[in-house]
Amino acid sequence: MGKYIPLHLITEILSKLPVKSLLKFRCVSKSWLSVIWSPQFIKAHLKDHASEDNQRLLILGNFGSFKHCSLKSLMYGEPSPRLITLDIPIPLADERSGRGASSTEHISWYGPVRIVGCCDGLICISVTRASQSDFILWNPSIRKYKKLPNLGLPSTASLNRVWGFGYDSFSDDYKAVILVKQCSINGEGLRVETRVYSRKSEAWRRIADFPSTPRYTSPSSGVLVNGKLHFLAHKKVRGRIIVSLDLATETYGEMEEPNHYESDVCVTLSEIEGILLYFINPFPGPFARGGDLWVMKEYGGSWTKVLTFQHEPSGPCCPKLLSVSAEGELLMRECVGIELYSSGEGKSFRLLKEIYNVLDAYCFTESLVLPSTHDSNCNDNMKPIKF
Amino acid sequence: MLYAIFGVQTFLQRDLELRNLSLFNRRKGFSYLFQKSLLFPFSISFFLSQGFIYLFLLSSRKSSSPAAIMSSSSPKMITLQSSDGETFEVEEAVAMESRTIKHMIEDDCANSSIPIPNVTSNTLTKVIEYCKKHVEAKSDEEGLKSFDAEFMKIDKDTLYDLLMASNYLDIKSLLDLGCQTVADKIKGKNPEEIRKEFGIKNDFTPEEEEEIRKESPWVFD
Repeated sequence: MGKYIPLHLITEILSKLPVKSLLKFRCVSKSWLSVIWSPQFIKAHLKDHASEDNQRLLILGNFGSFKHCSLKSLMYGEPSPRLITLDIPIPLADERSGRGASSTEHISWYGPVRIVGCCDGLICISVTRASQSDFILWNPSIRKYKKLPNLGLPSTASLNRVWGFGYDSFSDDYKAVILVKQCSINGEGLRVETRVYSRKSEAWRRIADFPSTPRYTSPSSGVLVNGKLHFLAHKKVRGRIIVSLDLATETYGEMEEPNHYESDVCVTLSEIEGILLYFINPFPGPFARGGDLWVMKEYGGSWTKVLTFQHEPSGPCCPKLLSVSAEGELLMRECVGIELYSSGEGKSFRLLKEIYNVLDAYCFTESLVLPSTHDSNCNDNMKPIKF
Repeated sequence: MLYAIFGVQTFLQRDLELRNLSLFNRRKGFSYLFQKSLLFPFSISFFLSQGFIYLFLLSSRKSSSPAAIMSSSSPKMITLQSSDGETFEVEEAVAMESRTIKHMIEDDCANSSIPIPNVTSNTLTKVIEYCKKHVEAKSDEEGLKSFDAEFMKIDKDTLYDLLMASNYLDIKSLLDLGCQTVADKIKGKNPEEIRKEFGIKNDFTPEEEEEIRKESPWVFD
């Protein structure tokens, strides 16, 4: 016997279900279908899944290999939780010549794949082929993607992989931001332009230029905190500064670094639970000093140093802080793998031993957010998940 | 209950912020950072000071807990009447867990007894049991978690009745708990089982249903 449960209660129940179940239940009835694809439900579902339990760790390896695993089991349980491989959606070469976009085959060759940013279950990736970069908005949980229109840059422009992706709550829109370096032919000098793609308009626009004085650090992906993307930059003389791009007003601002560090350290920005973090690691060497972790508890307020530690990066690139456990352990992405640093033991442990080359890693949650507001514009990538 | 672990540097030379170094104090998904001195690794005094701070915080939390109100008079009682005529006397604080009842009390409509027409006595008993526990043990997060898990070991009819009652009475935590329990029970089912479960008629034609299934074939394996 079925008790009659009103639809609004059904909606409450549905918003607590995982994405896979929701995709199944779309065919239960017409009212269920319209609930599950409604923008309000997608937002409510996102909110209900924002807790730590549902977070996954996304790892990008060589040759565009994407894998993910549960963040919670990684940090608190097994050192090698099950990794799920994702099939990256690569548009066919034909698409570029304009000949139709709905095929689901994948070509077997492509150049460097990088993550522009990750937000609310949507991943923005860049695929470079023959020195041309394609950008794709992808939701791996529902296996839909959308190839963004070409930037249409002149030959004098170059991309340095300084970019970002985030959600603008003011206009309820997802935006991808790319910084484009323009070398002027008649010697006017260097200009850094900002191009923004918005999911609603489905087009690129040019907005305010990156401030001319600080020199951005590349490559880097903007860290989204409080509706703004944050980039690290160097001041003209010495010192670092944080440049922020407000996604709503599309204007730039600047923030001071917490403390002046000389150039023998590598600095990365991170965001955990909506808080901006400034992560300093020493370069390995005989004079290596300890590392520091600063947080900005109240956005726009002052920095607080919360941790000082002795950890040296195990690879040549800057470690990126991914998460912090309840016991104060730091989960980091090094280019040789994922490591967990325990300040209690004073050293770090390699997790996920089968992964030895990490180009990038992000925390992400599964969601129903569509790559395009018009469902017909999304392509499906349908290969089964490989285990 | 929120608990914070501090590392107190007893041999500090620099002046780092001592109070409230706990970061990310949240009810769920919490993470903490504790400070470690660069010059002096773990030492016994660190452990002792850590334990002391923990106990201090624990006691200060308890004394400032709003649940332990020092009132000389006995708590005000509210009478609730279920749909089948049974009356229940509960403390005002317990009754106020329901926002519906809370508004009634605040609007001064609760003079004699409050009728709850949509809820039977069996269900109301369970609701009161839940609210009582959540008021009494407000700060004991672990205890509440295990209580909730036990509380939800009920049959389907009771569960659905509780869901409807908590929705009518506007008790968000019970509603969330009930919905999560139902969600966990149904997430592995296929669409036909779902339709049976909730008494839903399939208003798709076989072709329409096939269209939808084709969009995401991998979830049906």
